[in-house]
Amino acid sequence: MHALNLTIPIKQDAATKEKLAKIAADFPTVYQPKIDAALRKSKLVHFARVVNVHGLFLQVITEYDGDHKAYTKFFQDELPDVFAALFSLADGAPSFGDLSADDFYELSKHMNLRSLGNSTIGETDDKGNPEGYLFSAYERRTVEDILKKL
Amino acid sequence: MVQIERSNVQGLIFQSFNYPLVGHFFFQFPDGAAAREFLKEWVPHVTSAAVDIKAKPEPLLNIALSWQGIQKTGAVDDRAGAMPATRAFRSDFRDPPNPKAMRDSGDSAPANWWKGQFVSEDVDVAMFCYCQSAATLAEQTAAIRASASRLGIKELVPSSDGEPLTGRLAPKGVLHFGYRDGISQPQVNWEDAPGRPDLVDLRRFVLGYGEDPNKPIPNREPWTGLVRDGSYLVLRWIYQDVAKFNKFLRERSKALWPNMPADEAQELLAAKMMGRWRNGTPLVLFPNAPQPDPADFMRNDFDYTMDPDGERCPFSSHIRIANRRDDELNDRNKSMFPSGTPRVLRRGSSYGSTLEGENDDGLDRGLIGLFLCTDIESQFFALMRWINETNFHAKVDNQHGQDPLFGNRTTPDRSDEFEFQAKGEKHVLTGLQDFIRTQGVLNLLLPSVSALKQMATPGA
Ligand code: HEM
Repeated sequence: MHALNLTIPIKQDAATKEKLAKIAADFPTVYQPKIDAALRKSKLVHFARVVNVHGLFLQVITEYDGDHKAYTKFFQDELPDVFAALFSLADGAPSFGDLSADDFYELSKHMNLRSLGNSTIGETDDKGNPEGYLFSAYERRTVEDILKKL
Repeated sequence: MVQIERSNVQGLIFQSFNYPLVGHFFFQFPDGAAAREFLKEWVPHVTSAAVDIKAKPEPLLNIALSWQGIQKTGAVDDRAGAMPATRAFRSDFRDPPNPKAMRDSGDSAPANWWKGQFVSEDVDVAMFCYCQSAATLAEQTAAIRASASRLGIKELVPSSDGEPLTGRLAPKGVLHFGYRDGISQPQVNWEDAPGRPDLVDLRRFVLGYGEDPNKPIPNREPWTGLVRDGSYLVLRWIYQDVAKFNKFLRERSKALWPNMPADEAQELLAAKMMGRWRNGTPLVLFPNAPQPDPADFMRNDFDYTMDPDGERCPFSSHIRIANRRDDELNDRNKSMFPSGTPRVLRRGSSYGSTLEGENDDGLDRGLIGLFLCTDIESQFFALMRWINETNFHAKVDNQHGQDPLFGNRTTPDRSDEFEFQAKGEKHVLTGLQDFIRTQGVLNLLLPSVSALKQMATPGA
């Protein structure tokens, strides 16, 4: 299991602040159902939430199974408008439509903050360095393993 | 419809060169001038797909370059420069071979590659020289080395005795571990004829014709001009531990089937691990015994409809992972591979002497795999992921299973159990071992003949 701590710095101008307020207001009706459907289909993500950190950062926090790079494209394809909306708030990010799968991965890797500590199950990043610490009461069980047992 | 000019495509893309010997040469260019001079000398000798190899002309030469190598030739600056090029090409090709994506950990980690003589990033150009005789290969080796040394180009030799990495045509197509290879390859729609869903789209193997903006990459000028009629080539140098494999087969098959004659039990276990009997016979068609007639053992006209529960051919056997045919993918993989299962063209060779029995002689032997595709991530890496984690299938229960032959057992989260059925019984074989070890990987571009010429003479 891996952690995603995607942390998008929000541009601090009036238009972006307005956009953020609109996204927050629309979240339960517009974005949430889409995210819900895609994550359910993926059977990769254990938990997911989006947090507005005092208007300064937007955090997408998930616990997921498998390969970050491979599945980035899955989410890019499944949730284009959600990511387009989130990245439109970012300071310095190119517009989502112009991003190739690779750019999107690079960007999400760049904005993903490493958790403190070291993985206890030998998970590594792209460069072979240990990932941050992530506790799981289910040890190595994946979403699919757990769903099967329910 | 695309019409490919065969004389512009390097021959390996269209066919395997089944010659007795192939020398693999790796070089590092000191600078652009040397790179261009070297290419100018050798590109005229490149064997294109228009050459008829039935009459066995020799040598056959194909040339591939790495991202660093292409940049050194000046071909990138000549177009739009390094920054736009970096955006146009994917990191799978640009970056050093990604050990995480291929699950190359433990003894297979990059720190142990190339016998410690160099690192993958050092390689600018690789040359594959196919010969009918050792004498021709020796002559060609001398000529290639003389040309490199005249231009101050450094040869990178992955051995301590200076011998180039030399592949051999496997006797009767039989590789170390005793399996016959060379049976199944993607049937490609080379003519791009409409209405042929039975064939694989040529765009999966030939770059520069993709209209789909998502893949393959690059798909924009001026970069498409550089890659058109080329293919990505992943070279994977793999050591095979024959003594360990033989011991495993003998011990474990005896424990599974104590009352079966030893040879028969070993063949059965070997077949379940591969999905074909060692002589090639597909388990799906002939679950009870290998067939002696080539018309049977070379068969490839099957899918898994007749074996939906993996009773004959285990879900995690090598061929059922490496080409799932009509097996259903789970939902996320269905959306990740909308145009079907990942396929690669395989153009490898075997190397090292044959070993029988269970006493290792300490010599190096294995396979030099050349895998061709137009999207390294979603074709080659996808297969490597599946070999190391069987979590792609709609039906497989064990999400952490691995290819019992070629999985890397140091993959985090992996299971060491191989589940299969034989003779109406279910078995779970535990304690799978590492039977292979990665010794080096290169991500290369096998450019078109015209692109090679442009690299040799930028601006021409
Ligand atoms: C030492 C390593 C390996 C050995 C000895 C080996 C051997 C074989 C053999 C004997 C076959 C069956 C013959 C045939 O279908 O033509 C086969 C099929 C195949 N292998 Fe491997 N293989 C190795 C590694 C790999 C790797 C790393 C890949 C990764 C992409 C791969 C991909 C395939 C594919 C795509 C097929 C064809 C399956 C089909 O179409 O049914 N192999 N291999």
